[in-house]
Formats: sequence, C-alpha cells, structure tokens
Amino acid sequence: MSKIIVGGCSFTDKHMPKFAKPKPLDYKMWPEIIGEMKNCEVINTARSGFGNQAIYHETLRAIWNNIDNIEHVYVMWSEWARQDFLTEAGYRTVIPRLENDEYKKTQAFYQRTWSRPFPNMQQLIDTNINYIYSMQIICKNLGIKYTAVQAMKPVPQFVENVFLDTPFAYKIIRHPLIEKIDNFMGWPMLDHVGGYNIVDLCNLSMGSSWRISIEDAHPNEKAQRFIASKIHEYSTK
Amino acid sequence: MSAKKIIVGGCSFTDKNYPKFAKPKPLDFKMWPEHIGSMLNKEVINTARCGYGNQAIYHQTLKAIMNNRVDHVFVMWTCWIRQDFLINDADKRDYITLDLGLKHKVNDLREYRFNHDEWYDNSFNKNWLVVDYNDKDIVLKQPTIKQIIDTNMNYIYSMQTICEKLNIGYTACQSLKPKIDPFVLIEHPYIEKIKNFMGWPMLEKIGGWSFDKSLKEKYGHDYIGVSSCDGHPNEKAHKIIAHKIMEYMNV
Repeated sequence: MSKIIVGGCSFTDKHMPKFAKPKPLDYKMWPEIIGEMKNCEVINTARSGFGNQAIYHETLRAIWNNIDNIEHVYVMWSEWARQDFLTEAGYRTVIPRLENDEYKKTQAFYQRTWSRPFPNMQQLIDTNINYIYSMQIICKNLGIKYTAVQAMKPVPQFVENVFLDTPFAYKIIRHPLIEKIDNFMGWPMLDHVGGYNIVDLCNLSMGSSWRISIEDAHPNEKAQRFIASKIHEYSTK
Repeated sequence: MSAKKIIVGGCSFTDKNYPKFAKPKPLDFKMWPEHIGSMLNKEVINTARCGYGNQAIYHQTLKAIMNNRVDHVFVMWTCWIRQDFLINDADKRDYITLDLGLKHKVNDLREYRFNHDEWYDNSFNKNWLVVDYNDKDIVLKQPTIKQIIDTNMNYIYSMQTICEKLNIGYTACQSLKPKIDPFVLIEHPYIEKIKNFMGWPMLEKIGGWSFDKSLKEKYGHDYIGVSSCDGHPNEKAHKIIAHKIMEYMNV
C-alpha cells in the first residue's frame, strides 16, 4: 500500500481531538481523511505545538524512512514565530502569542536563557521560508508529489510590537524566494498580498462554525472534512 | 548585473574574522575562502562565523544564495553536536550556539558549568511557554546522537539538493571531526546520497576524513596550528586547505 507522509502542528496532529476543550473528542483529522480518499497508509508526523523547524525535520525523517513507497507529501506549516528546541524527548516549542502579555514573557524567557532578544520579523521570515523552500525542492528532487498549505496567520500580530499584518506582508513580498514557492495552496498566505491560510478559508466558508468551541480555536470534525476536501482538490488538479 | 560570486558557509575554520581572535595574540592572514576567491577570480560572500553550528551555517548560507548571483557554494560543515538558537543579536550574528562537547557555553555569554541536561531541563521544561500535552513530568535532556545525526544529515542533504536544483556548483567538507558514533552514521538511510563532499563520510573508521584530523596527522600540529594554545589552522594550513579544495574540484 502506498503511503502519504504528513507534517504539521495541532491542525494536523491525529491526537489533537483527545485534548479538545472543554472536553475530549474523537474524530478523524484531514490527513486520515485524505488517506481514505487515496487509499493510502498515512504516516502523520504532526504534533500539537510544533513549529516549522520541527515540522521540517520530522517530515524529512519520515520521507527517508519510507522512501520506496511514497505517494504524496503534505505539509501544513504552522506559525512562523514558534521556536523549536531539540531535546532527547523530541522538540519543545516556544509559542509566543498576543494573549496574556506573552510578548513580554517571551522576551523575558530569551533574556534569561540566552541574554539576547527574541528574533525579529525578518529573521523569522528568512528561516521559515528556508524550510518551506527546502522541503519543496527535496520532494521535487526525489520525484515525490508535494502539497503545502499554511494553517493559520504566519506571524502573530505582536512581533516587534506591531499590531498589523502589513509589515509582515511588505517583507514577504520583497523576499527573494517569494516567486519560487510552488505547490503551496493559498501562497503567500495573507489576504493583503492575495493569499490565504486554512483559518481564512474556514472563516470564509463556514463562519465561526469551524471551531471546536468558543475556547478552542482548532478545526472541528466538519472543518477537518472541509480542509481535507480542499487540499485533495488542490493537490489533484 | 554584477559578476557571479562564490558563497561560503562555515564556522571558525572559515570565518574571515577568525585571525583577529587567534590566541595568544591577534593575527592577520587570509582564510581558505579568500584564497579560493583569488584563484577563481570571484567575489567571496563569506557567511561563516566563529562558533556556528550546522543549523546556523545552513540558514546563513541559504540566505546568501538567495540574495546573490551565485557561481559556486562551498560549505565547510562544523562539529555536529553544536546546537544553534536563533536570537536577535545586535552584531547580526543571528545565532547563539551551545556546544554539547564543551563544559561551558561558547561565545561570550554566561557560562554553564553544570551539565547540559540540567540546562535543557531548566530552559525548556519548567517553562510556561512550552506546550506539551502528556509528558510534563519527564526530565528533559540534551538530544541524543541519533537525533543529532538525523538533523545534521537533513541540513547537509538539503544544501546539496538546493544547489543541484538551482544548477549551482557545490563543494562540501568537514572542519572538525564529528563526535558521533560511526556505526550509527553508517546506518543512516541516505548516507549514500551525499555527494560533492570531500572526505565523506568524515570518520576514519568508515573510510572518511575531516580537515582538522587529516591536517594534523599529515603535517603535525606545530606546522599547521596557530599556536600551542590555539588549534585552529594557521596561515600555511589555510593555503593547503584552499589547494586541496581546488584539487578536489579539479580546477
């Protein structure tokens, strides 16, 4: 049986429903739905919390361990501000968010740990786009079909204390790799520059009914089916 | 449009500013990338910085590739057990590096004279920022050799593949002998896929070599080392390295 290899964060992690709030749920995520559509075994490397460095390495490791029998690689990239740290127990990820004054807490963590500030927006863009481009090139080189998409807005609206998407959009459209990204549904990810991400797509098509609950902004069962159909449609056209 | 350039990535064995930090006293000599630039009559974009690990080398080299018209890329990969962390640094260094082989943190930061497992647990476990659903109680430790091999192999293979796909010449080599188990490395699923890498697979036991060890064995430390307290390659050694790389490229 051919395999599909999948990378991502909580939007893709097959264990995510068990940790849904306010109570655990049980449903299939988009990779498993696509696996059924294509009649393929699914190697789902996604883990809740992962940033793109972790997604890159875990997906690539799975590619190499299954190299003889891969039908397709799908990566749903995560927030670009997340920072992954490799430990014996796997990756641990710092997830800076706007809520609860976490910008200041993130900076405090960086000062305490490295005596240096959190990376700036240009550094985040350069690093993440390197991973995205590298994955695309490797799949192409190995002759493996590849589809990418962005789960949510790439940078939370507080990096460098900026509360708008415009500075990110401005930097990304000037990046030398912007025109080289292929097979990426919704690229360049932000509506400011003509792109979209999965949250945008769900909001547009389903209003707020895609969320698990008011307190849990992950895609629910219906949304996972919707996401699977959209990615499948994009990757087979 | 400007003439094509050569892009170089690496650590202190490649950093053009390294001689200023030589011990016991600052020196002034050309490093191997600048010799190769002269031999090929090409402008050199040297992204190497003392202390960098391979993650930093990968990203800084790739950034330079994307921002220039490139003729050839040279990467002298460093010690595999270095762990790089992206930071916003005033001197544009971009990364700070923890060398798991040392008893203290490299660069000029606070020193961590306790063991690295403790540093990992303190930094990444007892921290509100780190998400983990079901293994909060475990003690975090530094990555294993297997994880380190997987991660470094990914960077080395990715760089090779990108240069190949962009039709850019590429030559790789290893500066410091990696402190990794040769028998774990040899089992890696794409060990045979690494190309254009002088001395691959780097370790004597499996038929490879790295620059530091091979130069010391052939010429002796006194001939090629900066001083008795600084094991970096000296001026003569950099000329030898440049010639060996050119010879490998068949130029």
